[in-house]
Amino acid sequence: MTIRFIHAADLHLGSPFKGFAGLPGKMAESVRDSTFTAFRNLIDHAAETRPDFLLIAGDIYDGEDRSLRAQEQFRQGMEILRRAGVPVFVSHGNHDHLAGSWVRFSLPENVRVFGPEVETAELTIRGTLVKIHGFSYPERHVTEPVISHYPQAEGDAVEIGMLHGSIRGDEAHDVYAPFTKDELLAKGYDYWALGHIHKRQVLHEEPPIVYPGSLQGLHRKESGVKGFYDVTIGRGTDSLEFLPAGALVFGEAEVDCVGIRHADEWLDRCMNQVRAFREENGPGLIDLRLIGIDEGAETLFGDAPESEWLEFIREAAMRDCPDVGVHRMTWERTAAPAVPGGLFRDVLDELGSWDAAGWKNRMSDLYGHRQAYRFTGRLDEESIREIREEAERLLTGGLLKGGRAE
Amino acid sequence: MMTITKLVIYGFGKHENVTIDLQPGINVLYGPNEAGKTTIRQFILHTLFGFPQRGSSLLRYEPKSGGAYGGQVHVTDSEFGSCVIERIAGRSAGEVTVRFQDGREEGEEALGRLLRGYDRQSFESVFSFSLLQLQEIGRMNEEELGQALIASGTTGAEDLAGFRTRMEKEMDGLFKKSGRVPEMNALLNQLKEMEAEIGEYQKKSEAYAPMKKRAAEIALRLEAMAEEETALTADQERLAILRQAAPLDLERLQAEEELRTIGDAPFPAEGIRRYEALKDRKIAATAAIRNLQERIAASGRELPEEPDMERLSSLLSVLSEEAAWHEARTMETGSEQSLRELDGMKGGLLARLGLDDGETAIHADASIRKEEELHSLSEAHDRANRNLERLDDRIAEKAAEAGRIADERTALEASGPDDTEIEWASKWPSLRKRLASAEAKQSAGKSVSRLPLLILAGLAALIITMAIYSENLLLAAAGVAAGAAAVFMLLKQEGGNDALTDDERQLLSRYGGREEELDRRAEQVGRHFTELDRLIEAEERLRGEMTELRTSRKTAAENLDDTENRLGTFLEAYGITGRLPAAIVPELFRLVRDLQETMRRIRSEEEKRDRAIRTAGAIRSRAYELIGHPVPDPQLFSALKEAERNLLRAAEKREQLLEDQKKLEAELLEAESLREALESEIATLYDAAEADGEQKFYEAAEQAARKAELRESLGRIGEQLKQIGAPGAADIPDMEDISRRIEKNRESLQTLADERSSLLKEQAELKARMGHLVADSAYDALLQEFEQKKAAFRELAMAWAARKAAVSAIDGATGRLKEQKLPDVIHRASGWFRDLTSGAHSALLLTSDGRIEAEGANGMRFGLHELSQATKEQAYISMRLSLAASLPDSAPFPIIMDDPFVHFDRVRLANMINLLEELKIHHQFLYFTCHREMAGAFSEAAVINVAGAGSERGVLR
Repeated sequence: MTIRFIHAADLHLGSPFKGFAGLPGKMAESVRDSTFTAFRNLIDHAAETRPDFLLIAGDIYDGEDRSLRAQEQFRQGMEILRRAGVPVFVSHGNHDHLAGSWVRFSLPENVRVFGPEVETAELTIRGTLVKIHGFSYPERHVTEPVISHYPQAEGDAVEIGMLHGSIRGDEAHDVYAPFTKDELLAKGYDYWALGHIHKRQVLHEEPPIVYPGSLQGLHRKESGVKGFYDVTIGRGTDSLEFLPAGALVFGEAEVDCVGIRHADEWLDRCMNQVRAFREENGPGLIDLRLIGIDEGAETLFGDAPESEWLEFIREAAMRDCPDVGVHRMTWERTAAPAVPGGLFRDVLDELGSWDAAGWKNRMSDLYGHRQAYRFTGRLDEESIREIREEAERLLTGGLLKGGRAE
Repeated sequence: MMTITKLVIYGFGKHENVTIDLQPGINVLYGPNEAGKTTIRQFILHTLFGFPQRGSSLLRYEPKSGGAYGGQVHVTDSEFGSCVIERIAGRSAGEVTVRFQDGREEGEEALGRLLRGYDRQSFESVFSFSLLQLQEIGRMNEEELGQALIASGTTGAEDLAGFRTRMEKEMDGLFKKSGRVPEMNALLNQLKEMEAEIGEYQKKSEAYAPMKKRAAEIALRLEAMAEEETALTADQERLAILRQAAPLDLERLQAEEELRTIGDAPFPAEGIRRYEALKDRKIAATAAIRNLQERIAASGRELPEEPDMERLSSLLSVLSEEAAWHEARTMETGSEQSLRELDGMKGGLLARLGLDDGETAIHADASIRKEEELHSLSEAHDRANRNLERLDDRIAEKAAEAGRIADERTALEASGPDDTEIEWASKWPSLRKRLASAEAKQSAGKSVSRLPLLILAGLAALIITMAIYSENLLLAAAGVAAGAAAVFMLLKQEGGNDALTDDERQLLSRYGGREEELDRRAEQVGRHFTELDRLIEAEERLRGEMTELRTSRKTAAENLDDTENRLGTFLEAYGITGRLPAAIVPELFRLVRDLQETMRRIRSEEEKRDRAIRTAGAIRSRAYELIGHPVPDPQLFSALKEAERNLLRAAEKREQLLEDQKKLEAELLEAESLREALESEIATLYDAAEADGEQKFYEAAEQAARKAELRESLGRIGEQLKQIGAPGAADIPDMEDISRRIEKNRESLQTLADERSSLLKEQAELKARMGHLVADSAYDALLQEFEQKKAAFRELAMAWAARKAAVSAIDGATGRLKEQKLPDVIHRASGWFRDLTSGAHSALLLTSDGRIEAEGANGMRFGLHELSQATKEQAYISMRLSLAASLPDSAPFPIIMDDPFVHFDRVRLANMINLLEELKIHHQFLYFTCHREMAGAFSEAAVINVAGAGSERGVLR
């Protein structure tokens, strides 16, 4: 006897895309609707293939600023599944916790939303008892390890745990309902449906412990194909099938510029990469990294500002692959110019010598600006590194370029 | 440390194919003026930093003689090892190749690394100086020194300060702390506005919950109202029933009252219908009786009299003679017909016989004997007739012959010779003779031709022949005449012409030679007359024959007359008169016989006809009697038959009418009994209704009907009351009360309806607004735009921050340079300056306002410009060397000097040399000089003589 269900998480319906500037109108529109499109893809698949049930492990909405439309879209999706006869189990996560003051839409009766305490939903599928354990975040932050509240498997049923949280010691995310793999395994469940981490990962194979990742990339750093898992579990026949759902894929591609002398050669190579990306991922946004820039290519690129080259390639992409946007382009020089000693080295040394406080002091005009600070983002290690790299690029470009003869 | 070990000049300025070996430490390159010292110095700089652009202030030193341009600079570097830097003509800066120890060959890039990023300007500002530069030292101040210092420390073509300025400018374009215009400030404002807008949207979204609540309230209220309405409607319905019931009740009471008044009103069931049916039937019966009586009377009138049987039998007997009637009629007609035919025959025969009436003929004897008699008469007549005819024929023959001959004679006479001819012919023979004699006379000389005579004879013969042929007597006569003439002439000729007289000569001239011809002419005339004589003779003979024949004929004619007369006599016996050709007499006889036969048949037919007329007449007279009037024969029997039919029909009709009468009388009897029965039934009905007449009966009927109506009405009212569900009679309130209550309920219902419509409207509006909120994607769009703007802002922030960092780093580095390195350099330079001046000056100092001053041994301070030229130079050199010394790692380059010490006195020169000796372990020195004594001034220097010609080959020593 096998049970087939779909495991999705981190829908973030209506969430705007972060980190993209200057998208062409058409792209901006598909970017804006991408979470809904991805959600529709999920619902379509579920309605069509009619799994035994659907699990959504948290973060249906993005936050307090969720739009009514997002909620209506979700309700409509659930309605479609009700008509298709697919039960849905929802555990809310940190982004859509229960304490919010937003309007609640009544959901059809096929949707079961877990309460703030760990509870168990039972259903019988073709004679097999299935128990689903889960809880919803009662508020924004749940830092205690809720895992301890999950009951031990009793072995008389197929048992599935739904948990929105992060593995203990994962520094990349704020700690939410932390757990360890061993803790999960110790419960003896047949499947752990996790949510919260946007990057897809299978933490354990038998039994499966799975982060399906976000349904749609939400930030330019959330690259790659996004989707959900179509899971079949049974006696020794567990199978996980990942199905893409995202409306747009973010990615990057390298463009080898060796031997390029003319703009059309370069454009061809770029467009080949864009097309290859389109071929592989469908619509999306792509960062191009230009590598292998030799002297000739450098000469070519020296003819126009970088922003113009980007505009050039964007226009070409609009013509050729209108559903693939070129987001940014970086020039990676193979051999950085020799860094001479003397004052220039001193300047670079100076740049590398500041500690966090030093950076904050120097950046305070902007990062400490009473209005601007909210939009600059935090001046953390990452952004300091980026700023430093950019500053080095500027200095190198500004001071080291050009011939040495008068 | 970098050391130049060798210079290989392919071609540069005046130098061509020159190799100069250099050593570490101090190298003195000595040569007089124009030897090419400066050229060598420029060669080193050009090779290291590139040939100057054409048209720049620097000379390119391209060989004037053409040939190879450029050369090699061999160096040994503490970091890179031995390298050969080769620069030859190529692009304007030249093509450079750097060969490393390991055999690698690289280009500008490697050279750049080797030169630590230094460009020519930076290099020259620290490591290469000439007397000229030293002479300008008076202007030097801290600023310049600082700049020089910075320039010596940086490497880019672009000046650090300029770059910094550009960065700051770009920063200003991006963001200003309290600006509005810069991109980021503008974006910031937009972001703020969008935040506000998002807030608005959220607020709008917040309205959704109250709307939802209100929608739920409305739904609840609508439900309550629906209940209330239902109750009111039910009450309305009940009241409506009561309102309906009230008048019905009233009606019921009235009906009951009336019923009581009417009381007991007996009336037979269906009395009226039955009565009226009976009445109708009675009327019908009465009418039938009257009708029957009338019909009986009418049939009595119509009854015909009894028919006459005697007449009938007479009719039948006449009718039985119809065949006889027709036979007689046919016979009469047939006989008439035969008579007409026979009469015709008789007429025909009489006509042929040529008799007016045949009485004589009819009664004449026509026996065989008579016929025989007639026959013999006829034969005699025939014979006589034939004889006459034969004679006539012969007379005619003869007459014809006579005619022919007469014709011949006439023709002959016509064609015969004319009178002249005849006369000539009659003369010719005499003439002939005369001629002949004349000729004979003439024959003394000539012979007389007899030819004309011969011709004449011939001609006569010819004419006679012709006359014979043509039976023309005249012609024959002419022929004869011609002949005669010819003969005459012949005779005459013979007569001779013994002596020719005039007459003879005339004759000769006239006829001489033509005798023959003239003979023929005379013969012709003769022949004509011969023929004519023959014809006259024939005529005579014919006339005699004719006379004989005519006599015979006269006899024959008399005979014929006799026979004819006898025949006439015979025929007269038969009434036939006149002379008739004998041939037709037998025919006449036969016709007489036919006539007699015809007459006999006429008589017989007439008898037959008279018999038939008698028979028909008998029948006709009887018929006329029976019919009563005469009728044309053809209709006689149809009239008889008609009379018979009429007679029979009248009998039949009479019988029929008598039968009818009997039947009608029976019917009449029946109808009368029916009427009686009906009358008794009507009486019974009257009794049942207690009525003594029709009037009363109808009144009773009316009463009974009213009663039934009232009862029915009561029943209906009861039914209606039951149907509309009215309560018992006692519960019905009065109309006024009902109306009042209905009005009140209606008002309540209206109020509810009004409220509901306003609620429904509100609900619809709410739904629309909620629907809009739920479907509105503008919020999502706004959020997305906000995020995009934020991303854009962040990118700009990054740009700003990077520039800010770059500027800060530049400031930091230059600041440190000024604060830390500059005092070091000055301190070291100060020491060297003191040593160079042998303590005459104790130090170089940096003033608080950034100028450099020299401190005298006595503590007096001087501005640099206040020093002597040599001392100034010494201060500058100290500074330069100190700078170079401060950069041992970052710039370990050789120091190239172009006679900078010329103003130094012995002591200071010695001090200077000592200093260089001291420094040579850190830097290679290339010292160019034109002063021979300088070549020996250094203890361990390599002295290279730069040859005056400068172009000689080989190695300089």
